[in-house]
Amino acid sequence: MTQWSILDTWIVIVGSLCAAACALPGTLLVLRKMSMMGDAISHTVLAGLAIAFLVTHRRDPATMFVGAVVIGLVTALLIQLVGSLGRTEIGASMGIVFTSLFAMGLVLMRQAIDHVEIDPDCVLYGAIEASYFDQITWMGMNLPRAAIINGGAGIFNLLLIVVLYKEFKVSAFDPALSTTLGINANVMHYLLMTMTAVTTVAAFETVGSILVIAMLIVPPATAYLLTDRLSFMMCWSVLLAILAAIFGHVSAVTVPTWFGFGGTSTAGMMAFCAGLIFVAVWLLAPRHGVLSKVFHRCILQLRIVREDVLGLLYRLEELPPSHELSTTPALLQGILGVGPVLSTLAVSSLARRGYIEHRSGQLHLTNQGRRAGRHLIRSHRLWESFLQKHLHLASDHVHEPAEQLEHITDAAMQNQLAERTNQPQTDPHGKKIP
Amino acid sequence: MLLAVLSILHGTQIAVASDQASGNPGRSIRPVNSIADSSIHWPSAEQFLRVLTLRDFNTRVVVLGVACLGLACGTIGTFLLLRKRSLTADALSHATLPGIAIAFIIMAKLGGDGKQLAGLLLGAFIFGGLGVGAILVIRHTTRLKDDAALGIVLSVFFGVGLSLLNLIQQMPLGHAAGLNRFIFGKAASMLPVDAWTILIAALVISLSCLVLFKELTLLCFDQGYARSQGWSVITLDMVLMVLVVGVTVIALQSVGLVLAVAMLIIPSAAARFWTEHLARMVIISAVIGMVGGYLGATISALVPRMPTGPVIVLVCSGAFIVSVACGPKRGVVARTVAQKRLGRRVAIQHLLRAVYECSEMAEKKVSSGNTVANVTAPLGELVKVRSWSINQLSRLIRSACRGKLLVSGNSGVALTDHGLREAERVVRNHRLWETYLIHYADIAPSHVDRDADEIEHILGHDMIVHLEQILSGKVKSDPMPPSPHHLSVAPTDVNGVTA
Amino acid sequence: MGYQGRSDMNFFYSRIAGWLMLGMVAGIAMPVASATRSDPYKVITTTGMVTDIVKAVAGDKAQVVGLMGEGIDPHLYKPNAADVRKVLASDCIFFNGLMLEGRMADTFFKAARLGKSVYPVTESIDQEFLLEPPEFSGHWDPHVWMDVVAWSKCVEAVREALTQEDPDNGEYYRANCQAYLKKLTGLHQYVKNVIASIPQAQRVLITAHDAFNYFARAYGIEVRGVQGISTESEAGISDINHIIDFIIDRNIQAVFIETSVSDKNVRALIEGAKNRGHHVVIGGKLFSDAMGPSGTYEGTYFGMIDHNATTIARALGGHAKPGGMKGKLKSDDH
Repeated sequence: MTQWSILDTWIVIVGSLCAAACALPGTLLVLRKMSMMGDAISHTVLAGLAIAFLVTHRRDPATMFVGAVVIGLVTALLIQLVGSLGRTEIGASMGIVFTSLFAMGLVLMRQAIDHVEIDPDCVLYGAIEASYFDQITWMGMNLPRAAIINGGAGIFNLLLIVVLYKEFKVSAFDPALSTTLGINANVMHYLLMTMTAVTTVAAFETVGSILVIAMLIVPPATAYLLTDRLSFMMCWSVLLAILAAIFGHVSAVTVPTWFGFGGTSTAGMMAFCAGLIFVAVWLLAPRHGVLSKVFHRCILQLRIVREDVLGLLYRLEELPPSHELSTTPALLQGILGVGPVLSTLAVSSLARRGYIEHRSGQLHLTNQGRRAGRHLIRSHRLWESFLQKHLHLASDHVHEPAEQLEHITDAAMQNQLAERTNQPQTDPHGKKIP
Repeated sequence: MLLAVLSILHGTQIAVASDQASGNPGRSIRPVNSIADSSIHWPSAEQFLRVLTLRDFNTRVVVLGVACLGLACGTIGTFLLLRKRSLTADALSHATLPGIAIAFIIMAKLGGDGKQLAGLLLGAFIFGGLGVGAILVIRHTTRLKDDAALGIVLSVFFGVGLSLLNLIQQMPLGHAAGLNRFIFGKAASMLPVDAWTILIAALVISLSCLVLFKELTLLCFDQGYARSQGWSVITLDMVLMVLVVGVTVIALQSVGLVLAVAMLIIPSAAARFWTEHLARMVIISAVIGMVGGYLGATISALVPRMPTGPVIVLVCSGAFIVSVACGPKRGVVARTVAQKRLGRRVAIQHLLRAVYECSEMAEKKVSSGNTVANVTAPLGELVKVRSWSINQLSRLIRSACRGKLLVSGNSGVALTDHGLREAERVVRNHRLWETYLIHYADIAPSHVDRDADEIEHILGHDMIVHLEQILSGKVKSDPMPPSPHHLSVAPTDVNGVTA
Repeated sequence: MGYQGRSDMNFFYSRIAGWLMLGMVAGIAMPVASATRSDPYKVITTTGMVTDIVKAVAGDKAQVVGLMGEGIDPHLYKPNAADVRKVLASDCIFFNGLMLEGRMADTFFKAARLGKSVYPVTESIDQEFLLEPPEFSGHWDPHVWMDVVAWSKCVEAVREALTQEDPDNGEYYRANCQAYLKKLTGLHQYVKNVIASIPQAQRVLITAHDAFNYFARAYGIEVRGVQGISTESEAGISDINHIIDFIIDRNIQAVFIETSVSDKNVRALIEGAKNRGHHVVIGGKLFSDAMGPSGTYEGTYFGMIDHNATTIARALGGHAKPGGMKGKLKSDDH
């Protein structure tokens, strides 16, 4: 980072503004299963450019921009129309609309403008790196036009969402409810589509297409793994989008230099960084992350083994003294049928918490452990009685389900069970209920 | 110089005319037919014959290729549509970019021509597979939906591809220009080898769908059941997606992006309007794809400057629009007609009930032995019952009179015998349902009228019998139960709330 | 516990954001690239063709850096940050113009406001050297370099511009320019001769896309592109069939592929003609929008045109030595 200059600062700012502006409507699009909207518009733009050129015979960015905005709106409206009129799944209706408009653009091009290049990449899409050159003097400051446009789009989106937050929320989650609340879900939908179309095309013109397509989807999808609340989701997705923009540019200018290159496409790397952040969150998110799910599963399993150990020791204590079995950890492991790691962990954590103690190589329950064991066994046997009495399971079939249910039964539930089974003294196998 | 330019022309006469018209000879590239002068040249009969008999080699190849492609994509597209993954092909076409870039680097570093199509396609296929893998992982391990999974894979892979291309441009490897679109073919320049590949792909796909039809059906409709039958949903999903990657890569390199994406979506979306039955839907979709491919290719062979792929797409969208309009059940026309018919039936039933209830009240007032049938309901009373305008009411009455349900006299309308039976049936249904709501749904008697209003029209015979059984002790249901709430002729607003 | 974790994470991110903000403020505070003229002054060029002529005229008086290597399609070029830094550090910019560089041209004009001199070389020559489609006047075909005479005018435009930038070395540039133009005149004559040696009826250049109109005008050869000028453009079956009819009618022996466009269009033509009993081959790879690998003969403007002309002439039955005008061409490998 020896050569960080004002250029890089502006690239990061423009990227962040664009990313934030896209992430706001993107959140709603992801919730409405319309994530591919940005991609669809990036395809139909060609038709808009062809028509704008045929009408005006001009190729300057302003004309092309108008053509693209119009076709963006038309795309959005048609997608909604096909979706509602044809009751077609929204992804399919996007596909139908964008391929048809794209095809129309290609036919127009071949028929009428075969000798003028109007590829969107040539006449419309800007590059985020080049945005620095295009400066506008505003309040005595020279600001890149891209920053003003994307910042403006971002503020506009923010205002719209803040003002109509409830309406957007209800119509995104529950269109039927919104109708009963007097919110026209269709109007909200068209509003969202308009917002998306204008934001994306404005950003296409200033920073190119891939950045927009990525920022519309990836940060909101990432945020969706982090939180369940719409307002948090929006904040997260804006934050993640800005992070992706910053790290994207930093890695675009540094990583390739390690291999002797001069740097690479900032927009591409911003998309890639958004992907990396997604993967990180996918692995590490507190509740929906893969690793945390695995972790929670392990913790749960450990708790179950721990309780099983207590239960087992309690049962052994119940047996008449003549049956005295040795209770070495290895033996427990054999009876419970769990791996050595899990059982060792369980035993040591129980010992640490003072539920059991080692005496001459054998494990014994402490008073505290005995209470816990009694609770578990009571739950187990009450469940067995309940299952037999109310669900009419055969007495030789009640053990397995009770084995699972015992771990999720608290004191209140136990009392209820006891009530429903008329406070039995013994379980279906004739064992005493403690 | 002018001669040199002129000699390049397509259709000489038009071109000459437009060149002279443009007024600055010598500075024109070539007189192209613009929108302004491209009068549509109707192909001659000879040309028709030439195209329809597939006399040209290239026409034969393309028609065969796109028809088979339509078959393959139409078949597999149906399952994609039902899995809500229609845009998979689009996502894949973007996701292949890093594969193409890496394949190019490897081939160029090994000293060969970096633009070997086979190598690039292999790279594309591998990254297409990775992309699909990522989609499946996201889909099965997070709560994100298919569209988000597709979008994430599309944009992130494409971003990586762009970054790699930017690096390639700095390498002294040569000829990297146009790499990002190099594998995208154009339908018109399809080669025989492409057509044969597509034919084989179509066969493989049709066979797989035939063999796995039951499994794929369950995958689309009832994953839980599929799982309980011992099939691994993920394995099935992977089989489906491998087929999709295969057909997408083949289609991309032979017919290009837009046609590949469209062929997987449009025929199946159109077929959805013609049937509710999956097997039929697959067949219809395949047929639409095939016919669309054939027609589009034919148009492109007949009319000059008609790009083949886009024309096929437009033909298929035409088929889709026709399907949306004319589909027997889900079509817009059919739905509108059905809705209109239902609305009229409902309105007439409402009218009959209103007449009946007015008459009933009148009967109570005179409390003589009059039967309802003889009593005339004055229009002034009727119009107060519902939020009818006089016009609407008289239109309804006219149509009821035509149906021999009512007779209209000077003082109002009266029920005919036929109308009386119909009205009794409607009123009875209404009151039974009201009673049911009061007793079993704990709804206040003042509120049941509106709820019953919506249900009375769709109560079937079985339902009525069932209601009678349930309510047998609670209401004297023969011949006509009394209204469980106070009948009034007070005007009601749109929502049925009594003023 | 979940809440604890979340606020921890918020804290963590806010720390990172804080550091980044600090870095950004430092970035803004740093001085912009100095506006003083460097010596030798720095010139940025776009395509290889433009780089070549600017280098030829500027000699060692300027430091010329080309942005677009051989692997870049100029229409679709997007710069990365390093490229932009080069532009910022430069004193003047030469580019092709006529929308060849697409949105970048627009960017360059905007850069003029930052104090750079900006010269679109093809836009400063007399319009009579340019070609435009009749129905869209003003949308000139940008592939001017295919006509050596027109490109010579661009060389003069470059000389004028450099003289304007650096009047002290005006004589030096004039001399360089004269020497280079002389070479180009020779090249023009060579191309004219080898193309003229093709039998009149065979003088047809069929390529994958439509980039050779200037070549056609200058050297009296017909061109037919399978698809239009745009990379998105796509042909129809009837277009392909027409061209095949044409190939058979005129008994054309070879068609040509381009380095930047897939050869499938052209291979479809060959297969179609073969099926009707007419043997036509791929005459070779032509350079259209980009030159050959840098450091080779084909990686110069001179070698690129030599390669194109020699390849076309040899494939269509004209007379040209395999090594081309200077005998430096590698044997074609197709």
